[in-house]
Amino acid sequence: MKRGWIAGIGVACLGTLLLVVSSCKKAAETNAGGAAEKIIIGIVAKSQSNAVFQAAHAGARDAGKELSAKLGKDIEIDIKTPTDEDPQAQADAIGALVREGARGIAVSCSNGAALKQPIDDAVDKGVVVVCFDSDSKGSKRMCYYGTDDRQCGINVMLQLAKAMNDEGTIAILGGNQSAPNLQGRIAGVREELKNHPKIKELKDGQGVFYHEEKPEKAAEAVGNAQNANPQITGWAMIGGWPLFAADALPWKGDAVKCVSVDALPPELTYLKSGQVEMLLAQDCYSWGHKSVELLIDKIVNNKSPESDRIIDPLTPVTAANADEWAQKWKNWLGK
Amino acid sequence: MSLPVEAESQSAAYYVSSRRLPRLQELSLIGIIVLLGAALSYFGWRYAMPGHPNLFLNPDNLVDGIATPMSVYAIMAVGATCVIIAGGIDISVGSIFALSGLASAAVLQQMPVDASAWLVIPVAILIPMIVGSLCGLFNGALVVILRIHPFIVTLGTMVIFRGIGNVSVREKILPDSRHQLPAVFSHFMRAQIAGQRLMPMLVMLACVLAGAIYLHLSVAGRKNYAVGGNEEAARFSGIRTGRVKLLVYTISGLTAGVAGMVSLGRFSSMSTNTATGYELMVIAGAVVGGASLLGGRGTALGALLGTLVIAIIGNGIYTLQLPEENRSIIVGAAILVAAALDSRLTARLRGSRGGN
Repeated sequence: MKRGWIAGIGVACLGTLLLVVSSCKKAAETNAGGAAEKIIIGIVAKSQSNAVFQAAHAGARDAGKELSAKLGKDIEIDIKTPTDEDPQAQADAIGALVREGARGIAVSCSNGAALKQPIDDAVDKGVVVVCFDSDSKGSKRMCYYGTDDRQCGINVMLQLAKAMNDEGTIAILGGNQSAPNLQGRIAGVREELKNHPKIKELKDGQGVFYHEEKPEKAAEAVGNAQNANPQITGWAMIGGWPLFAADALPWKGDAVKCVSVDALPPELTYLKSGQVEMLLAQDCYSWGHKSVELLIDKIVNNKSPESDRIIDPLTPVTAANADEWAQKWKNWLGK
Repeated sequence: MSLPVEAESQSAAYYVSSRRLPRLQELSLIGIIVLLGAALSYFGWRYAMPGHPNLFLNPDNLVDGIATPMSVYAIMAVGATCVIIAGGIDISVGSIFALSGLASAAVLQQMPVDASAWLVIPVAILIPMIVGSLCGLFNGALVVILRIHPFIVTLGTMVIFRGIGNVSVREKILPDSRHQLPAVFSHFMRAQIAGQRLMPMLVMLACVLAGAIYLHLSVAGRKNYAVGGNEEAARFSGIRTGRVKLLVYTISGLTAGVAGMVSLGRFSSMSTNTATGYELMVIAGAVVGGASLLGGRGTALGALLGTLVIAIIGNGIYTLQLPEENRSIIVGAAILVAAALDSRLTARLRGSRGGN
């Protein structure tokens, strides 16, 4: 029995060796054959569970189809977004795409500094890399496409100040405290706050509430903060996490003013109930669509964008245009 | 006087029988790895783009795609195995990993970018090891002194260690926006050997070797098995079980610190939420590798092989071009299948040898 087992392992090893030899043979044959050109574009967003990245995926797939038809190429979109946010999983995905033969990769960095080396390695191997939504500054990526985080924070505070008639006490909903893009938005909120002397940040500048980026955790953070600090009259939400859950806000009507980033379908209901004054929508669909366009332009036409930071302006969504925005989402996600 | 002698012989007998079983388990795991490797090599060949090498069986994938990412899990799995063998559990390793890496990054970022290797590398290696060991010692002390179940103790410290990282690091990522880490450490951890970045894998193999020496060739390792096999018998035979527990939790913390050091060198960055959830993969690696959650059984080589099985399955999702959203289901199911298959193969091998 022992001998039989060892023989079994031996046969498996031999089989593996034969496969290596045959794979080398196949590679040589296909090289000689000169198969039709296929362009693989990899997409590595932060996490599967966030709807904004599902829209980005839809945009990338659509761009792949449109550009395939237009350019007569076989453009394949390979989505390797990790299930949960994890820079190491993103680094592994980038490495896998490079080995698979991807010629372009669009990535939204969970930790830009941690992904600098994997991005640089990919670029050194001839792969074009674009960052969307969250950048990896100092890396060899071709360009960044997305929101200017500081400006985003400024806009949130500007709109909130208008809604609050320039007076009151605000709290900031901060999301994951390790995300550099969110830290940039918080800095923007505080920068603009200085222009509104009658509005104070809760606890003299300690009014940021961090939480896991899950709707229930965010709703819990808002509920607890509001209960403990009833003097809060305005919320600057630099991400719309709690608004994915129903009845997430502890105030009725417009008793507390709230301006939030992102305008996904579940969030739009809060505009209609009056609990949220304005949503500043990021064009999540274009994160994928535009990134693929930029990559293909570089790969096929060797054309680089004029600037290495392409800023997508935020779209204000209020109760007045909420239905129109909801229709856009149906079009994006229904494909 | 007869009880201690009886207990000692019972403990020794357990040790002898528990040493035979892991060898069979390691053999069956090697069989599973070979089978998985053969299957994935076939699909890697089938799915490779024209002109590209086998997606699975090529040095880049085997090192960058499997050995390097698994290194931090395997290093921690060695420590986790020591704890599990002693009948404990440590779910705080992910937080210790992050805290050790953050402590190291906080010191390193104060050094000039072009600081000498003689200064940087010892600091980069020693700080995470010291911080990790202290965290582990704290865990061990709480388990021994409070006599609370180690799951509860390490659940508490998991949150505390993560919280210390969050409170200490203002920008939540190190190096912060005003600093850079000395280049020499990342060059060291990413040094090319034979065209591959082998350093994380070499550190992993060194940890497995050290773990194997501790468990199989040292008196302390023998006591580790004895405490997990039958704590009462071990105590009656004169083993200071509290000391053994302190040691195994310190080892677990130490390995988490080493893993933090490897990750910091690899990515040149550490955030306060790094390694969240890693503890489950670490424990899964140890258990698939043959460590018994009831204590008394497990090996360092088993921890390596168990983690390798999980890493190959995870990498196989890329090779088979499967959708990423299925990853959790596939990896979870594969862990169950691998553990069941391993258990069956071990039973058959044990039967064929006619042994215990």
